[in-house]
Amino acid sequence: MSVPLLSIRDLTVRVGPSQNAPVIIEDVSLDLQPGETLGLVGESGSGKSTLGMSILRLAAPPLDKGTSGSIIYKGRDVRKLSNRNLHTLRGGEISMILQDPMASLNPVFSIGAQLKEALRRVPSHRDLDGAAANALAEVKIPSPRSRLKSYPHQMSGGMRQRIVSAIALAQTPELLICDEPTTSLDVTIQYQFLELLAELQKAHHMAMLFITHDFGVVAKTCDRVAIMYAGQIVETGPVREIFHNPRHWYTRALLASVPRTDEKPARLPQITGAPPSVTRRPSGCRFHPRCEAASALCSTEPKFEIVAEGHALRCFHPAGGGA
Amino acid sequence: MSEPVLSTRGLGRVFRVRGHDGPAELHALSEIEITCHPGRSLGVLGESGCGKTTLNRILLALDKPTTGEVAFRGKALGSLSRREMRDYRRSVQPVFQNPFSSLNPRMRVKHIVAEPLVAATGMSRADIRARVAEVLSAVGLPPEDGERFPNQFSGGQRQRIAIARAISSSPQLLLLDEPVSSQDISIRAQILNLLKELQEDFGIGSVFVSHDLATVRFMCDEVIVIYLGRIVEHGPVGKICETPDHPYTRALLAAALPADPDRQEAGIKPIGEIPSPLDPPAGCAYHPRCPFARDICKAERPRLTDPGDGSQVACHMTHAKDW
Amino acid sequence: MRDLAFRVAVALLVVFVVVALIGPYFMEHDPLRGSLRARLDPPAWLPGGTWDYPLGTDRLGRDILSRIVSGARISLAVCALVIAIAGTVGTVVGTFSGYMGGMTDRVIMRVVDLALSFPVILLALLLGAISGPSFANIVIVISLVLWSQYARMARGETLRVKNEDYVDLARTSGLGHARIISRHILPNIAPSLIVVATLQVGVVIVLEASLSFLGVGVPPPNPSWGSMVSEGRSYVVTAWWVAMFPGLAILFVVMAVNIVGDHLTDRLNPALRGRGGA
Repeated sequence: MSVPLLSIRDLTVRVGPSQNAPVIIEDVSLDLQPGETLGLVGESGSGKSTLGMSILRLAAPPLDKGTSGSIIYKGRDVRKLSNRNLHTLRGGEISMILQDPMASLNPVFSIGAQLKEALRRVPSHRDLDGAAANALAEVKIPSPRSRLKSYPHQMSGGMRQRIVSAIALAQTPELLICDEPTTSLDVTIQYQFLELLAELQKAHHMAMLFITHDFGVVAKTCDRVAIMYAGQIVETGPVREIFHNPRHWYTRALLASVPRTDEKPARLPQITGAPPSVTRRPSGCRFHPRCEAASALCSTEPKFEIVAEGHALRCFHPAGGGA
Repeated sequence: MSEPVLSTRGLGRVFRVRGHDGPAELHALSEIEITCHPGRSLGVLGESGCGKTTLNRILLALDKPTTGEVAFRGKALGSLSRREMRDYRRSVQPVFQNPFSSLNPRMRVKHIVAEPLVAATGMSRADIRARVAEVLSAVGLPPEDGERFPNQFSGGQRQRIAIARAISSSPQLLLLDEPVSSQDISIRAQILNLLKELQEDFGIGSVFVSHDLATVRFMCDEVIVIYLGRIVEHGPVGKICETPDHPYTRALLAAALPADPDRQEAGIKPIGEIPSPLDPPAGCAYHPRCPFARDICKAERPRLTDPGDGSQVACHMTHAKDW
Repeated sequence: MRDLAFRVAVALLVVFVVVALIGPYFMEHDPLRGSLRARLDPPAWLPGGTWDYPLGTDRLGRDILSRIVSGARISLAVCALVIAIAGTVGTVVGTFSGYMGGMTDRVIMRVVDLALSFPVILLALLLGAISGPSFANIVIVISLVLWSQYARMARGETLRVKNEDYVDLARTSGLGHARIISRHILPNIAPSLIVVATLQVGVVIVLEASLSFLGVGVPPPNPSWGSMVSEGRSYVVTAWWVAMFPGLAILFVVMAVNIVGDHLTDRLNPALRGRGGA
């Protein structure tokens, strides 16, 4: 296997430096290859967004202070970078797209001004207006030149999210972190945005970390997927493998509970209980109180173990296996 | 078939708003005809701005239509006597999307659940107390929870409380406005199963407003698809989810991403933006996004007609075979 | 750190209320009657002072400590009455206005604007000139000034709460307006109104002091902190304690009230309360 672009090892994030502080992310390790898309799936409180923010050290200061482990991007540990190097990394080599495009754009500046601010950091651009128009054309905004003068409130949600992408891509990043970028969009608009992202990814040969709670989005966009529960990655593997042969009971139950358009069961298979809050996570396997296969062993800490090529999970009694 | 609980005739709602150049008219809903029977679930499918929320508010008499009328058991809402109005309030109960805003934070759960009983029935205190305990256990909460306040519950539990409240007065029709879209994925199946169970056990009908085709498939018997305030397709849920006729419904089907990386995408890829309801396209409102649009689609609004299988479609091209 | 300030402030306010309620019974001297032999005596720790008059005496030989203690009672009474009157009127008007909306709301809000822009001092002087300084006057004048602020706040909060889903739900259950307002609106706007009330205690004390200072407040010889400062004005150089101690009393109480008010604002602010969601 080639050298990963991003390699996270034993990342733990607490609310503050104390060892007793509540843990948001626990012992997370993952690799991201160049050009690949990794889906990060989890429910609210699973720590998936914090993980995305931690990569660029954008998590709130108490979290940043409570972080241990390493985040290696192209051989350098992001956690040890000087502020200056960190600044060039952010928005330069690693960009982010967040859930709410309106919050990502400044309402008092025109689209063009905001786009040019990002483009200005690329020294090769002489004609900033031209470059900005090209950037808008690339994200398929109709009549890009005249659109440069528009303000965010004059555009629809889908358009805004494209503008945010254009800004994120302005410095041709190698890694794009997308945190629920389509959650606020309508379904037909989400579909088009996902197609656009896939095209852009191919054109720029970017790697993507796609944070979402929607398995449909993962199935459409990702190569590999990691499932987070209560701060830990409980299962990770190639998308096909995980969707067709989920071995962790949480993944399995969650996938089964999603309604489908092509069948109408009398009842949906459901998981009992609710995901635990950060301060009340159970010991051992975090999922065991809700798990149908739990045994006495499950209140002790399971190891993260590889079960097949690229497929690893944290479970004492993996489901299925074989086929 | 039994007598409809709620039906609408030629329902329309126009809002007067301040547009870019002076006052403008926003046609939120036009010519909506629906019939709700006890024990049957009608899906209302549409994206943001299509008017589904307005429809819900009009059915709840929280808003008045500008044209047409809503009838309760065949009698127009406006002409109901005091007693009949009480009966309508008792018989038609809503569950809203966000259980964080639908439960008064300063009221005990037992008072929240009892509200419809206090307001629209002549029940004694002892009966009300017994009924509250009964419906709380029906939604899977211990009756002691009645003494607690909403902030002591998780999102899923709150939605259960909202449902308990809705069924407390033994309604015939539930108006469900995206009841699971603010819930975590592992909670959604729980709530959907609960709603379905209650509807089956008590023979309650429902109007299920949603943007998600898969959820509608699971919950509903019949579906209307709304685009820019008008019904574009109406039929049994199996047809709408598998072989829809209207190009918009087919786009929604393609956009409903299945949680399966290998499944073929059904339908036709959605394109274009949702137009502003302030300035809807002439003719068929969907024509700018429709891959099959012809000249007639730009000139003339198609009427809802039967394509030959008992359902209804508003499309000029339904009968054309040369798509 | 902030917590410490809050605790100190609460302690100060408790002392203020207790002193106002029972303090006068423990005072050796009558706050209204002076001793001509002990005029402008300095505080006990200065040369010429005695522990008989710990904070000294004023120009009529009245004990300043007794007068401050008895002035606290007057201040407290004014605060309680003003907040009861202005708070009730303002809450009723504001809630009604916000709940009804439309034309009713617009008309009421114009009246409130008018009230907000009314020159207070002028009004007070006018009333004082007509009926002479009295306790009732001061309560009326300050209430006239402050009700509009409650009305504003109550209206804004009502508009916010009115749009919550639980109010719509109550309507769909067929609950009447009175029930909706009493069960759903008022309990949810109360926290904000309590914050306003707290912050206004400070305003009331300062207003009462200012009006008494101007001679249209609490009629002499009753000790009001404002009138005490006013009387002490002529002796600031020769007998600073006459104005200084009532001035300090005003300063401490108002500051304590504001700290408590700020703290409550943070604690009760609905935007900062957990809302849940993704």
